[in-house]
This record gives sequence, structure tokens and C-alpha cells, in this order.
Amino acid sequence: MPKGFIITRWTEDEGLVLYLNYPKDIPVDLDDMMRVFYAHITGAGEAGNVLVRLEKAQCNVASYFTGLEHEFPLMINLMLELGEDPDMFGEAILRQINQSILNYVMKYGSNITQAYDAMEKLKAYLKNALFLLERLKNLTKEQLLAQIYSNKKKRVILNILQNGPMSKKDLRNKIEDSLNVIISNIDTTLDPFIKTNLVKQDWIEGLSEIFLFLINDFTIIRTPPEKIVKDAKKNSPTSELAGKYLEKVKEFFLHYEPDNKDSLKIAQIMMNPDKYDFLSLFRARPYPMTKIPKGEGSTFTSTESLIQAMVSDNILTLIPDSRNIDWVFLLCDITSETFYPEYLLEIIRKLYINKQIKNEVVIKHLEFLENAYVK
Amino acid sequence: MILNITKLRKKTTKIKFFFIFYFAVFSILLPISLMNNVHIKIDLFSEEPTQWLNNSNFDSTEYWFYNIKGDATDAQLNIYQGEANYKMIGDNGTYNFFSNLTQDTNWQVSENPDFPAFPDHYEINRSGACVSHYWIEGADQSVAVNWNRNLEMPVNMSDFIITSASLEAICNGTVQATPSVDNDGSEEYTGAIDVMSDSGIDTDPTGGGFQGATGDYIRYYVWISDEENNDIFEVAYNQTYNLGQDDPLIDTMEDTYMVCVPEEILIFYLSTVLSKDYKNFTISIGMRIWCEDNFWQDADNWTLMAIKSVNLTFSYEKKINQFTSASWCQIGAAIDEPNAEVTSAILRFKYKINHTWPASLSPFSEIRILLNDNFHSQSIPLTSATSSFQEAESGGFDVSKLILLGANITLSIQVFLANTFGLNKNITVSIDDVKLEISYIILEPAPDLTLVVYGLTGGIIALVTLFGLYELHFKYPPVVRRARKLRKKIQSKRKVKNPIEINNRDDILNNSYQDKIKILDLEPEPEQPELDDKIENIKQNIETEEMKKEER
Repeated sequence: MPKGFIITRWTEDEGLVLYLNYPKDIPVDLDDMMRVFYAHITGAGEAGNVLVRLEKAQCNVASYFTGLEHEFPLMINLMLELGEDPDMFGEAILRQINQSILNYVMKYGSNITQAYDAMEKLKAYLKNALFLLERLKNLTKEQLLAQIYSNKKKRVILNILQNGPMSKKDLRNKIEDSLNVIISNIDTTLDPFIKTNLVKQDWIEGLSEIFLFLINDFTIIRTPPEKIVKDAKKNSPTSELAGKYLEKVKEFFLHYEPDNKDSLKIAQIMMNPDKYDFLSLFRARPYPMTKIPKGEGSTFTSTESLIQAMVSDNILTLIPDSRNIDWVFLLCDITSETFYPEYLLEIIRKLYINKQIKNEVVIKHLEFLENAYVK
Repeated sequence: MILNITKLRKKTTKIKFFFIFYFAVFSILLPISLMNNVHIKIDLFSEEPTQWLNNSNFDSTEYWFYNIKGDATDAQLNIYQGEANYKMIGDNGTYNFFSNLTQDTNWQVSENPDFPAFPDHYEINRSGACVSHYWIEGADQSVAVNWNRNLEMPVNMSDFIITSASLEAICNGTVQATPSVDNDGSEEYTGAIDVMSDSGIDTDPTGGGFQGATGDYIRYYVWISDEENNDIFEVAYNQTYNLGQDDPLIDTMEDTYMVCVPEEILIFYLSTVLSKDYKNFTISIGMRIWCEDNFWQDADNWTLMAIKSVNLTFSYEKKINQFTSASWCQIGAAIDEPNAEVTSAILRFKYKINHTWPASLSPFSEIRILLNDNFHSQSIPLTSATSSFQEAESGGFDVSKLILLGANITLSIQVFLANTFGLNKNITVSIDDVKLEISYIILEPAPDLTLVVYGLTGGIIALVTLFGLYELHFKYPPVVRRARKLRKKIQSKRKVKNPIEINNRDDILNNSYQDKIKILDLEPEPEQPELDDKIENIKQNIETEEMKKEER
């Protein structure tokens, strides 16, 4: 699990100074911090993320630097165990956390009278952030798929493999070229693909490389909440609410056209543990606003604000009953379903005809596809 | 973990084929097995062992009969004193012909068919059958004479075998060996017999050279032939080679036995000449003289040549013909129960022989058992028979497989003679205490399962076929079949030019989405702007007309 946060600030007078470490007992070695800092400023010293392995401290550091040109140059270091990778949390989540921390610092950092309260609020936020990250380590399969979808690097991998098999080495080079990033550990990046059985890797006899084969594909789309709709058709919870609900759902899906932008958005909702908890809750039944069970993972925000956020994202909808109490209904479910990539047969055939891949690789991929089919 | 899927797949395919093969074989064997077992073995009624034969002790001839196959003269069957006997008929005899030709003149002279010229003198007298001949450069250079005697056998030899034979014939002769002096004329013709061992002594005194390839000789012989003289065999002879030698002088041959052919050949010749009418044959004695022309004025003086006696003796025995068989038989009752099954059938009997069987002559003759003309696999060699009764088989013979249902059970105990041989005396094989004990059960007939069996066969074959089709084809969904087909084509390096008609990614996603929203029963509202406009126009026209009416 993540060890904690070490936030340092760069000043021209003092150099790199500790701004905040959370939890308190996390050791801070400024020499290590300097190493991370150098990793950031090597080059243009622009804002960005780096992953640094600290042998002495036996940890990985996922670090975000605002850049030297920033008005408040800050380095936010998420201290991880050696085997942990920030990819496992999803770049969107980490970006959101970094942005929130920066917001706290920017909002209160300069106001001395509010400094103490601000620091306490930041600590509370960091506490919740660590809790959130811990929860992100235990994702369901659909969350893992959402994590893949919400990660640009992984989306690129998926797109590449949707066009045929590729050796691990070639894949790594292609990603590094197309995204202009360095892949320190391709196996960690591929881990969710393997865990979710999207990709198989195997040696090919006579070739010295490991090849990657897509054997399952997936997408993330909105779908009508099956159980709630069925219940509504039976006038549940009430005929009035059910009628209104069905109208709303039909109205929504009459105009809904799945697209990548929306898919990315709902993938990030899936990745948010609090929102995912609500999604799971409202898949079972609608609740009046006043009787929503309090989830264990209400980390950041209040129930009401979470619901409002999900309503504005068209995941939930509010329907008042005769007593003018709002009922929270699941307007649309988020489905991250895998499917059999039959389209690959034609792609593979073309690759074979054009001699773009070796016969052995083609045969291996077809064998995997034969065995991967699930009725 | 990296799996070697190809190997695993091959192994799995082998296992599948093994099971398909197994089921295919099973589907064929099971119905056959069922067809062979259409009766359910329910023992409704068990028979105690029943003695199936009557008069098993041969107290009389009742119930028993016999038959003989082959030469009926070879055996006689009877029932006597409580035993059933197979008597193999043996017989023997000896024939002798002796002629002392110094006393026996009962011969007919005849010519030798190959050398028809007779010598100067030939007769049977006190010296025997005699010949003398003087040749002096004449045409009678090669002369011969035969005396014949027709002989008749006391028995018809057709059913006899000659087992031994001997022949003795004695001859002698006197010749002029050296040149004689002709006081009255020329000394050219000396009269001396010239033989190859003469070294020119007999040559012409006037100086002519000796000519010779064989020398002068006489051949005494004995022939036998059939009465018609179609087959003639020389069975004894004596041809001189040094009679007439000058030095040392040999001008006399004392009584000398002719050389006889070996006994086996003599037997063969005798059997041949007797095979015409099995009764008569001819014996002939004869002498043939060859006077070789040894020089230009040669003469040969054969003073007195004689055959003194002939003695032909042969023995014969009764011929037992190969494959002759003699059987004691009894026709027993039938098992008429339609659904009976024989559980046990044991045949017991005793046998003996009065003389030791001639094993060297017929080692494979035996006692055989037949039930309804079907042979039992075991037999009893006659060489094992002793002079006292013994059990043919300890515990009896299990003949249950030979018992036919619904037919009279006919037992035959057969003495089978496996060789042709001479039997010089009668040999009797006897049997006694013949018992055939049969046990059987009655089965409940099973319902006719033919249709069931055929149905089952068809079903199993269909099942196996379906199973095979399923395992090899239909088990895989269409899309996987396409993947398999493509892989196999690529593996076998066949062309894959034709595009695979398959859903692209967008189609798959769209289809999936459409399935998901089916639950909402969404129906897009029909768009009918033109129709609505027309309806609105009609309404307005109607209103206008009504207003006009009101105004009026």
C-alpha cells in the first residue's frame, strides 16, 4: 500500500524544503528528494510526472512537479512500496489528487492566518487520498477494465493489439515512440491486461521474443439498468415513480450515442471508489434521498454532493414522489463488458497475406483465439 | 506460465479420436453381442443327466447297427457275448513255382519278340532247356529262344498285397574257346568264342586284325509278364563275359545262379503283372546269343547252353484299404424342447483289442466319435488298445458341443483305418459299456429383440456419428470454426485469399449495445410533417367554409 505523501517546495533562497509529510512518521531524506527533483529538472524542468526508484529507502516515488516556472514550485511525492506502480491507481486519479493538493496549497498556502486550518484540511485530504489509493488496489474486474480504459498508455496498448499480435519488445518501443514516454517496466503496465484475460503472452518456437496476443476485447458504455428497468415495468417502487423513471430512461437512451469521450468519462467514474460504491448500490434498487445507506467509502465528499455529481454526469437521476421527496434512480448503468474479438480473424488473415507477421505467430494467435471463445 | 498449447491440442485430439474409435467399435460389437444372446438364460427346468443310449452293454443287437465305408471286405462287425466287435479281416498265403527243367518239359517254346531268329538247336531235355548254335559269318548272328509257362494264382490277388518275393534260376554252358584245326580245308573259320579278355589269340592265322566291342556272349534270362504280354519284366539274368576265354581257358560255365532284381522290384513287377486279372501271369525263360563279328572270317561255336531250374516264391497278405471305416451306431432320441440348452453331454465307453495293433504298418488308425456325423475333436489311437477293456477317456468325453437340438442324436463309434497295409491275420477291436449322459436346461425364450437391436445399432451409430461431428465440428461456435479453418489453411500453407466475412469491431459493439437497450422497447417516433401539414390545411379549409356559411 502507498506509504504516504512527501510534499516539498523549491525556493530559490532555500532550495528544496519540506512542505508537508503525511503521515508524520514517514521518513524524509532530503538527499532522496533531491534525486527525485533532479529527475524532474533534467531537461527543461517543466511540469510533469516521474517515477523514481530509491534503493536506499526501498521504495518507489511517483512524483509530480509543478515546474520551475510555477508561481509556487511544488513537488508532490507519493511514496510507494518497491513493487507498486502508480499505473495501478490510474493516471486520472493521481492527476486529480495532485491537482487537489495543489489547490489546497495554492488556496491557503499564502494566507498566514488560515495556514493552520489549511494544513489540517490538507492532512485530512491526504488521509482520505491514501485511503482512496488503498481501495484502488482492490479493484473489481470491471474497475480494472475501467482503469485500463482510463489510462492513455493502456489505451494505446489496446489499440495496437486490436490490430494484431506484437512482440513485447516492439510494443514497448512503439508506445515509447508514440507517447514520448519511457516505459520502465512493461510487465507492470501489461499486468491488468493479463489479469483481466484480455491478453495472452507466449514464446514462439524458433523466435527469441515473447509475443502478446489479444484474445478478448472490451469497451465501456452506458446501458439501461436492467434490474431497475424491469422493476419499474412492474410499477416498483410506485407506479408514479416507475412511470416517470421509465420515461426518463427512454428519453436518455433515445438520444444517447456511445462515444470515446463519454466512455472515458464513465470509466473514470468507475475508477472512483465512492462513486463506484453508489453505482453498485443503485443497481439494486432506487432510494429516497433521505434513506440512502451511508457507504463505508465516503471519503472525500458528502453523499449529497457525490449524488449531485453523478446526477450531473447522467449516471443518477432524481425523481420527486407525491410528497416531493426526491428518489435517486440509476439513470444508466456503466457496463465494461469483454467480448470475443472475432474481427481479428480478418486482420490476422491480411497480416498473413501481406507477410507482415510470421506464420508461427499467426498460428499461435489463432490457437489462442480458438481457446478463448466463451459462449 | 507458458503453455505449449500445440502439443496439448494434439494430445487432446488423439484422446478424442481414441474415444470416437472406441465408441465406433463398441457400437458394432454390442449389437452383435446382443444378437448372439437373444435368449435370456432362465433355468426353468433342469434335466438330471440322462443315459441317452439303449442297450449300452450290447446284450443283443437291438438298437445298434453298423456300417462300413470303404472296402467292405476289410472288416466284419458283430455283437457277440456282450461286446460290439470290429473285426479287421486279415489273410495271408504263399505262392511257389518251381520247375526242374531237366524233368519238367511243360513249357511252350516261343520266339523272343526282339530277336526272333532261333538258334541252330533248342529243346528241353535231360540237361534242361538247351540251346546250341554255330555261327559262321551268317545272318544268324543274334539268335534267341524263349520257353513260356502260364501260371494261375490260387486266390484273386486284387485284395492282397505281396509282402515278400524271391527268385532262383540256374544256368550253365559249354563253348569252344580255342581255334580248332580243320583238317579238310581252310583254317579260316576256327569256331572259337571270342571275348574281350582274349588278346588276339583267336585272330586269323593268316594275319587279320581282331575286331570287337562286346565280345561274344550269351544272356540267360527269366521274364514275368501278364497273360497278354503287354507288360514284360526281366526279373533275372546272367550274361557271360569271359566264357570262351582262351587263356586261361574258360570254355565251361558250371551251374550258376542268375542275378535277380532286388526284392522290392520283384514285388512291384509281380504286383504289376497280376494287376490285369489278379489271377494269371506268365513266366518265361530264355537265352539270347550274340556272335560278334571279330574278324573277317569269324565263326563261333556255342556247344551247349542250358537253364536247369527256376524257383519263384512270393507271399501275400490281405490288403486293408486306406480310409476304410467301420462304425457301430445308435440313433437316440431327440431333445425336442425348443428352448433347451445342453449343459453337459458325456460319452463313456470301454475298448480293447485282441492282438497288438501293427503300429509300424498303420500308426494313425484310430477310434473316432461322431455325433450326427460331426466328429468329436478327440480320438483314440488303436496303438493304445490293450487286450483287456479300458476306459476310452477318464471321466468320459465332453461332447456337449456336438449335441443338436430338435434332431435325433445319432452316435457313431468308428474304427478308422488310416493306411493301406497288409494284414496277415484278423484283429478284433471291441467296445462295451457305451453311455451317453446328457443334461440340459430349458430356457425361457426372450422376446424378439431384432428390432431393438437394430434400433440400438442405429442409435449408437447415430450417436457416435453425432458425437464425432460434435467433437470435430459443431462443438465449436461458428466463429471458432472460422478461426480453426483459417489456422489449418495456414498450417497446411494453403491460400487464404478470400476475405473472412465477419463482424468488424464497430458492428460487434453496436450489436451488443442494441441488445442492451432492447429492454427499453424504444420506438423512434414517426416523422410525418407533410401529412400533418395536409391535415392542418384540411382543418383550416373546413373552418373557413363553416365561417362562410355562418356569415351567409
